[in-house]
This record gives sequence, structure tokens and C-alpha cells, in this order.
Amino acid sequence: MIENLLMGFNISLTFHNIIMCFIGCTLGQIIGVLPGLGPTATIAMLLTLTYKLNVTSAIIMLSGIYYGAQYGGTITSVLFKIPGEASTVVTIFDGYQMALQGRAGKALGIAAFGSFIAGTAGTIALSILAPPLSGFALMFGPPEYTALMILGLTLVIYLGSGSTMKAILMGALGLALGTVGMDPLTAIERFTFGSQSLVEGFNMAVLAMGLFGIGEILYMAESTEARAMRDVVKCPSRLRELLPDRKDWKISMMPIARGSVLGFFLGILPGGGAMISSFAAYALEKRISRHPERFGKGAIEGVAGPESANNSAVNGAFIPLLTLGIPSNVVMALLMGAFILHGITPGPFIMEKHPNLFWGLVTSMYIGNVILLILNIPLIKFFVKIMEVPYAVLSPLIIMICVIGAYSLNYNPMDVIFMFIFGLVGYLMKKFDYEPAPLMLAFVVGEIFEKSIRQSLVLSHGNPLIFFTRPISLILMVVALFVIVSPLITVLFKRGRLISEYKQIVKEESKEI
Amino acid sequence: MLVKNKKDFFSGFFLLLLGVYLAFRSMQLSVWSRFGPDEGFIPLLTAVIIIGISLVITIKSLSLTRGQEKEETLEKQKKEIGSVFKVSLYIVLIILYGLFLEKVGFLITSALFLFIMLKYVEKQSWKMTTFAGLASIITSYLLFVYFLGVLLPRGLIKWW
Repeated sequence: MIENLLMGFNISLTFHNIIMCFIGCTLGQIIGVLPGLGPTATIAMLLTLTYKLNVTSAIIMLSGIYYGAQYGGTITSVLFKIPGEASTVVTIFDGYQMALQGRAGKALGIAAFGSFIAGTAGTIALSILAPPLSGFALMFGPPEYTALMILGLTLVIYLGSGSTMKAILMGALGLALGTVGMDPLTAIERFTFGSQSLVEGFNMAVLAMGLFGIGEILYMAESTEARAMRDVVKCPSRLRELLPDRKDWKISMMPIARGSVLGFFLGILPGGGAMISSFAAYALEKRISRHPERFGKGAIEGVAGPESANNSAVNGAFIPLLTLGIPSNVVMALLMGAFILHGITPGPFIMEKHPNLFWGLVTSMYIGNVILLILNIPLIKFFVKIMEVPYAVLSPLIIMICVIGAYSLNYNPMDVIFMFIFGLVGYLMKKFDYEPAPLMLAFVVGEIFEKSIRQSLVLSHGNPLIFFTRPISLILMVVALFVIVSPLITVLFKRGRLISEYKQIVKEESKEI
Repeated sequence: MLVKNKKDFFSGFFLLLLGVYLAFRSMQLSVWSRFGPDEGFIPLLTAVIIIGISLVITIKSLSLTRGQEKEETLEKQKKEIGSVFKVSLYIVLIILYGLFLEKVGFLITSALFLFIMLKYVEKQSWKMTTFAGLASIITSYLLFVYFLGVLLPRGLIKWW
């Protein structure tokens, strides 16, 4: 492994890749600061741009956006009581209270250091766990892949924040959209309506830019609340204000450690991701604390635990993508799209066929975390200033980037029209309370899912019992069925009291925000 | 029968129609052959799921009794009309931008798009419109053309 890591550093430490990592992290940090515009929308918009870049640099940059956004979201949560990212909602509970008490610097400091420690620990865990898991993934045939994708989609749907029924509906719609174009096995055209532009199917980047980019902009165009800025507490101006003292470290060390481990494993879980990890870490800290009454009133461990968890969750989320080729959340689905755009299928063979890419990406995360720590501590004032850029100015620029990006994919104006249609769909989905994430995820895995399920059924002469006769697929299907039949979350969280606390926190605190 | 939740009723009903159409089109493809599932299998499967769930959403949005209807204030209605108008303007401008990008060229369409968006839709000052418009065009030109080597349509102005 040491050899591989050295090889990875050889790649990620080239001037070009350091710059790409820096751009990704800075962009991530900026969009993390801007409420409304998240890593999903940004990665979706930049997918087309990275098409022109070298694949390793492109993936390094896009990944930097994802983990950089987790750092950025913290600043607005602490100083403005506005979560820049969904995963930093929980930071408001104690972070903003700390800021009101004049301890904003300490909250931001511990969040940055905690994120750095957790991000680095997560990267180490990713380096250690990914190779053996890749070997395990080689045992997967079509039935196992089908079962895994069914489980993945089921978990994503059940762990989503909105209505489960609507999430299933969106998942089905995503799969249906994925069937447009040539059938992957028989090459027969489906739903193309005689249009040449549809023979290849909808482009993933066009769908993503429409749903998340244009859809978000249209929604923000009418939503005055999204544009409004709230009361600002005093921004820390000196470096010393940002450095936690010995007492802060003593209280926060264990929450950082627990958050890192919990976050990483919840990140691996399909549908888990940064948001659930941060809520789970907060609930865990509150439950095991000797003074739970301090939570919500400026407890530093209420910032340290969740902030660490959301960062290590990002590293955990890379595991299913890089070892099994299955995205565990919508950002990973977009990254998978970036791999596919460059002609690389992520999965168990990636380490063997593209070791430079794999280890270059993993090691770039170490570098990215250092860059983010450096960016965060002295430049907080600069990032706060970014919030003052009006959406009125940002939105035309974002639309322009999306339009040119969509056009430059195939130099076909039809792609712009499709992107606009998906943008309208994304906007209406927000208006009618439908989540776009299950649609996107189902669309991305749609082709692999269809191939696997059909190949499995051909192998078994149409007998669906094939999914229950092979050990790995049996286990995965049983878990998926369990999730469907008796909502797994409720059971798990009731038994461990963790998820019920998580749901309660979400309910109580979202009322306050 | 009264509509309890308008959002769910309309969206559910629309998706129900979409599901029925998808099922109808899927049946025109081969769903199952002697080897196993064919090209119509997944579309039909998804259509069945869409029909089933959208039907439930539509039915759940209905109520047998009349509930308390929220009265919308005139101010709220005005605000909503205003935001719908703004979103419609965004939509029309994006379509026009996409349609004319190739024929008229990147420079003219982008300049016009940014000018109308910033000055008339977002009601920014002349100073901000000029500054943000120029900065956006120059940045995107440098990014796309020089940095990424994208061939942007020249359209009517050929010299750049």
C-alpha cells in the first residue's frame, strides 16, 4: 500500500494537479458558503467542462468541490445561522449559539480542525479498505449487482428527507428516462420519436445541469427568502480567535474521533452521506454526554462531532463507487458520470486498470484537506464577503455556463433545449415537493441495473429466484426487502435510539431555523 | 370529492397519465422473449410502478369532506404572480439563448442575454450591469476558449 500511496502522491503532487485540487477545494468552499447552491449543482454544471481535461485532474477537481463544500457550509451556519449545505444544518444548533456568546472563532476553528482530522482519517481508511473491498467485488456477477443496486436505490429512497412514495416514484422515473435511446443489449431504439439526438439517450450531464443547475436557478428566481441575508454576528478577525484553547481541545478530541468513525461508515452506506452522518454524530454526542442540557446552548462538542462526521462521510462515500462502481449518493452519481464521460467505468477493476487515477485521487484528498485547512483559518473574512455577491448577478452567469457547457458536449443546440426542459422539470419538482436526487441516481445506475437484471434473468431462464439462491445476492435482497417491508430506519433508530433522536432533532430544530 | 392537496393532486394526476402512456408505448416493444426479459421489460416495470404510486398520491390528495381552505391575501397573490412572471421571463430568455447561440454566435447572444437579465429582469444598476456583464463574458470566454479549447459558435461576428 505504501508503494501505491507513493505512486499516488507522485501524481497528485504535480503542479497541474495541485492547482486542480486547489481550484476544486476553493470552488467547493465558495459554493458551500453560498446557501442554495450546493456541490451537486456545481459538479453538475462543471461536468461538461472537465470533459476537456485529463481524467485524473478532472476527478481530483470535482472531488475537491464535494469535500470543500463541507468546510464552506460551516461558516454560514455559525455566523449567519444559514446552513450553506444540508450537512451543516446541525452545526447551527451549537455553532450559532457559540457565535452569539462571542465564541464564533472557536466554533469555526474547531470545525476546521475537526474536519481536517476527520477528512484525513477518512482518507486513510479509504486507502486501507478500498483494495480488499475491490477484491471482494470481483466475486459479483449480474445477480449480485442487481441485488446491490436494488438495495442501494431502496436505501437512498428510504433515507431521503421527503416523502418515501414520491422518492420511489422519482426513482422509477429516473430508470424510465434511462431507457430512452438504444437498448444496451439488443440495440433496438426506444422512445426516440425518430430523433437522432435521442438515439444515444439523454446525456447525464445535460440531465444533471438541468435538474440541479437550471432548476435551482429558476427556483431561486422566485424565492425571495433564499436571497435574503440574515443577521450577522461578529466575524473573527484575528488568527488567535480561531484557535481552540486546551480546554476546547480536551472536550472536542473524543467527539472528533467518534464523529470520524461514525461518519465514515455512514458515508459508505448507500443514501447515507454527509447530512445523515452529521445528524447521527450530533445525536450520539448528545446522548452520551454527561451534560446533554448544554447542547443547543453553545456546546463545542456539538460542533466538533458533526463537523468531523460530515467530512469523513465524504471519504466513506467513495468506497462503493471506487470498489463496486455503485454511487451511494447523488454527488457520487455525478462523479460516476464524470468517470463515464472520460470512458472509464468505476468499479473493482479501476485499481487494476487505472491505478494512477485511483491512487492519484485518494492522495489528492490528503492534499485537499491541507489546502482547506490553510484556506479556512486565515481566509474566513474573504469567504464571508462572498455571501454579499447578489444572486441577481450570479444567476445569469450560472445560466450562461450551463448553456455553453451543454452546447459544447456535442455542439448540438438540442442538448441546450433538453437541459432547459430538465431545468423546468427540476423547478416543478421543487415546487411540488419531489426530490430530484433519487431520479438522478436511478438514471445513472439505470443502464447497469437494466443490463444486470436482464442478464440475471436470462441466466435463470426467467426465474427471479436467482436473486435468492446465491449467497451474496440473497443477503442483499433480504436486507432490501427488510427495508421495504418494515421501514428499517424506524426499527434501527428505535432500537439504538439514534435515528429516533435524529428525526426528533430534525423536526425540532428545522422549526427554529 | 374535494381536492385536499392541490400540489399532490395535479402532480400525481400528471404522472399517472405519463405512466399510462409509458406503459402503452412499452407494450409496443417486446417485453419478454424465450430467453428472458427484452427491451420493453424495464420500461413496462417502471411504468407499472409510476402508475401505482401516482394513483395512490392522487387518491390520497382527495378528501370526502370539505376542509378549511386557506384564504390567500391579495398581497400574497400579487407576489406569486410577480414570481411566476419572473420565472417565465427566465425560461423564455434561456430558450432564446439556446436557440440563437449557434446562428448569432456566442458573443452577441451572451451579451444580449446578460444585458436583458441583469438590467431588466434583475433590475441592476447600469454600473453593475456593465461590470458583471463584461466580467462574465470575458471570464467565460477565457475559460471555455483558452483554458478548455471549446469551439464556441462565432455566428455573425467572425473576427474573434
